[in-house]
Amino acid sequence: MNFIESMTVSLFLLAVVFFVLFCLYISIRLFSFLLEKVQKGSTSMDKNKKPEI
Amino acid sequence: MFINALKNLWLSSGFAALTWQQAMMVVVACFLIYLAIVRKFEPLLLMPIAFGMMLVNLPLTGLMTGPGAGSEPGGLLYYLYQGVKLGIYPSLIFLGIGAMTDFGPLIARPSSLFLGAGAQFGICVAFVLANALGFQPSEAASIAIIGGADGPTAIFLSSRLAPELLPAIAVAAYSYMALIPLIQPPIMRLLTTKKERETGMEQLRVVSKLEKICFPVIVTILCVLLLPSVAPLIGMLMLGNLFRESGVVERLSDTAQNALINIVTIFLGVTVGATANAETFLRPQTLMIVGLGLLAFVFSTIGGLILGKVMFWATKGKINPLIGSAGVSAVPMAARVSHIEGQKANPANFLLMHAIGPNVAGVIGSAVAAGILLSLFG
Repeated sequence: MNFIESMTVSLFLLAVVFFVLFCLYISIRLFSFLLEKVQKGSTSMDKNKKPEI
Repeated sequence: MFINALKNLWLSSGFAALTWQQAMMVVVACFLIYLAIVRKFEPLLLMPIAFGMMLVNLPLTGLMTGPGAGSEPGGLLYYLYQGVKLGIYPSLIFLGIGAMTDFGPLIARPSSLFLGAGAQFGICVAFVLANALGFQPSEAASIAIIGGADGPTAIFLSSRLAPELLPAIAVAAYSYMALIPLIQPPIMRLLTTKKERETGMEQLRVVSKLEKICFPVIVTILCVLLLPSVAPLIGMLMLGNLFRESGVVERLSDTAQNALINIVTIFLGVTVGATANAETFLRPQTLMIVGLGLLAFVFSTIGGLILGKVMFWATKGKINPLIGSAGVSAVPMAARVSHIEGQKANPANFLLMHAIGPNVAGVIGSAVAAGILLSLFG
């Protein structure tokens, strides 16, 4: 493998690592965001619930 | 007749069969034992590696000999080595590591993943250099993974791509992991300003139990779908973490992070060391691997720090660049080094929990890098 090929493989490796971890980043942010929305939604539903007499 | 018997006894002993190369390897093994016990260089792995190295270089033992013709069985370490050869032991060690790891700081600040990615820069540099020095691409990949600073990952990849280089790579990887408190601080001070090192960081948010339980499932599904070759390492890491976070399998979590990892560590260490016979270890290539391993570590630290500086600028000073060097996945040593350097600049700075995020992200990053290299050259 010549120098150019090894540089290409090397940069490809770094790019794929970044891509995979970027996908993980998006997933974690999305999940945390959705969880927060669901928790806020259930909190406001509890507030709107009329107390039983 | 008595003299003949004595002569035959001597000739059948190890002393008569010992070569100077084997004697030198025994001396090297004793030195590594010294480093493990006295200097405390990663003793959990280095001591069994060193002892395995010593055992295999004492002649006529047959410990690593395969089964002979007929019904002659192979040596003890030959059978135990199959766990390394088949990639079983590193994966089981990752199971234990997952059971011991708290991914909370990473979930609280997911941008730490980029620092973990940046710290794989050393793998890329070492690959190019190793290739330029004449190593085959599969050998260069095995040497380069030292830059991931992850022992099980390095052993997993080397055993598949370049098993003849495994002992040198294992010894280099674990020695440099122990030397992180010496290797990283000068680079950290060189690449950061005092103002950057003084940066305090906001406390991390509280991470819910549901997030911690879903995290290993999400990571496994995503990473394995994107890169199937990463399944053994990432799968076991996340299984161990799920044991820990679910809270319903305490026995399994306890076994994974104690008995199992200890047993596998012994088998892995001794058998990896036992591959270091004089013919494969005493070559100029071994010195080149040691040198390339150091460069890989240095450039991984540089890569993490540069990403840390980029995030410092992008967040207008909210992220301390020092946590970037913790992306080198020697958990928790690299995080501790970031914390200590931060405290030297600003005694009120507590960076440890902030640095754990990139630290554990680096474990995922190096496993992903190994998966990519395995799919390219395996």
